Amino acid sequence: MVGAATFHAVATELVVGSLSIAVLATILRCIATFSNPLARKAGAKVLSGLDAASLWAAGFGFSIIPFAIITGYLAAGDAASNPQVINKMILSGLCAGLWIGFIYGRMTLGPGLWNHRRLAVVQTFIAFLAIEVTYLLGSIGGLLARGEAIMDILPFFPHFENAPEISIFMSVVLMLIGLVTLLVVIFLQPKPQRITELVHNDSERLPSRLS
Amino acid sequence: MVLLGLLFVMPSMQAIPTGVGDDNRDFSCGGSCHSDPGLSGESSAIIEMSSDRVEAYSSGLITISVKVSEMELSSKRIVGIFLLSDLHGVADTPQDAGWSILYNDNGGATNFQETRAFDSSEGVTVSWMLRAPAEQGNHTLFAAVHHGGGGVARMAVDEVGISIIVGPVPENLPQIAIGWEPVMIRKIGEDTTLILPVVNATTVQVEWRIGDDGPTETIAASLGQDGWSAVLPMALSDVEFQYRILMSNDDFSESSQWVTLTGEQQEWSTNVWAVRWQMCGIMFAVIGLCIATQRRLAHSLRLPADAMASTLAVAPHATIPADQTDLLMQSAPPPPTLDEIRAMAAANANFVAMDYETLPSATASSTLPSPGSADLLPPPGFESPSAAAETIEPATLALDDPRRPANWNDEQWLYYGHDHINELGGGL
Repeated sequence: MVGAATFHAVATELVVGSLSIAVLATILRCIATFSNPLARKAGAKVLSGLDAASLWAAGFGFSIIPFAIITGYLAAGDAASNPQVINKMILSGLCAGLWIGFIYGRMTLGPGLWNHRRLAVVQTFIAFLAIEVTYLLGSIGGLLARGEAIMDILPFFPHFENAPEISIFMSVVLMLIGLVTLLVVIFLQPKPQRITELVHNDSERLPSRLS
Repeated sequence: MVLLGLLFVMPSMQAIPTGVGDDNRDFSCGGSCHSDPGLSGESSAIIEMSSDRVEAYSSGLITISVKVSEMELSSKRIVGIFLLSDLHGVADTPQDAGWSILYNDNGGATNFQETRAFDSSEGVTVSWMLRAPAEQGNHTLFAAVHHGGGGVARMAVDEVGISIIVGPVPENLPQIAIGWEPVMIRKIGEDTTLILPVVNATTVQVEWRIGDDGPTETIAASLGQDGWSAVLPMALSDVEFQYRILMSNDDFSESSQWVTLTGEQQEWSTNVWAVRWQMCGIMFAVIGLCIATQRRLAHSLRLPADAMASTLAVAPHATIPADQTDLLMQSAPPPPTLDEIRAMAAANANFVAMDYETLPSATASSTLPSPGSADLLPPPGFESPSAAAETIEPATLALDDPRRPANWNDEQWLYYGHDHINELGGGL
């Protein structure tokens, strides 16, 4: 019988691999936003492909995250007495939130967000933070399974031998604060419309009336 | 090139640099990476074995120490040391030869223990307290070491070993009864009472110290109904407290190995449901933060109203909203009653009456007659939708406008949509 740890390893590899591709495509697309010669050389198809790769790879990786969380929890055994597992659970929430923010932003703003440098930087920054948290989660898993992780070589790698102890009441309050924050943003903040992929001030490339 | 480089790096990343942990291991099961000539390197380790006595009694106690020095060290500085009964590679633990391991320096009862070496020249020394086999005769114990250094796994073996003569037990030899398990953990801040099942002894003492080199203190054990007992002083912090038992009678004087007594680690535990709520709270907050940042930035860029203006050289009318229902309802006066309409129709034969009360407000812009039509006259005070639109700030065409031709893309619709709607006779 295949144990939960094996499934967790498979899920983790799928998540890390696909999300790495997503971030790589995002960074390249952002660079093209800042470099007109590079964007022209790459062409519209390549730029569109990078945008699609970042979105679909992030979507696929994110869809695997719940599976990774569940199998990891099952493989961890007594999670309640292991501070590293507790820290991993908390960071999983941060990881999932960042990736949802990344995907939601791209889907609501549309591919035209890459025409705006500040939006492109924000989107890339979110992706960068998300993949850092993802790698951090993988490193904690490596510490649990093998006693070491590749991020041990970093001098600033945080230690997770201690976990926060918050009562269940305060935890529920924390969850409600987060939920209210999210609902306020979604329903009260003005919604931007989708930005279409258009060419900057290039009237010569306006479309013909009928396609 | 990167893949090729990784292939060259791979061999040096074999073995397990962090160690495999203490356990009862046959020599061959300690890890083939250390013995495979293709993966391992030569070891310069020097192994010295010693015991607290040359002769042991059948089922009596004996302490074996192994010192390893001059070995190469990996960055983790971990050294794993075996105590073996032979070097065949199979069933070669001391237990397989009838020995019993009471405990080792790490507090376990395993023949393989790992430790860290900080100075290769000074080396490391580990020891085992064993109970000799019942079978009398000459027994030999061997030692082997696994370590790293220079990026490869290394191994050294003491093939000479140490010979122990196991003889008959003198009738009056003071010794600890078989089955005794030393106390190795206790609560901090509490005295510890040791119950010592010592036989054939007239005097029993407990010697204790802090650390390997601390000064020793001696406590006399008293004989009670449960046997000999002694009370160790409490520790106010988790220090390395060590003790050993001294047993003597008129003919013999015996001692046990030093036993390390550690403070009990407080069991840490938390409520998993609390962590789950925290995880959800953090996730919601982070999603909200991301969305808020993106929306705020999009609005600061004057999106979406100016998005088309900044990205296209579009005509100004392209920013007029297609659905003006709200605008119409705000600017238009209340619809006339049927009586008013009939009165107006009677006054003007060209006016075609409409049942304004039955007009669905949500589709007002699409069902109202064309404002430019000469066939229709609005009721008094009624302002046409186009007039109302001219008084408001421009906005954008809706991309999901039902009047948009199916084969037009967004770009075409935003640029030519206004003309198309006008040609259809509809108002914006």
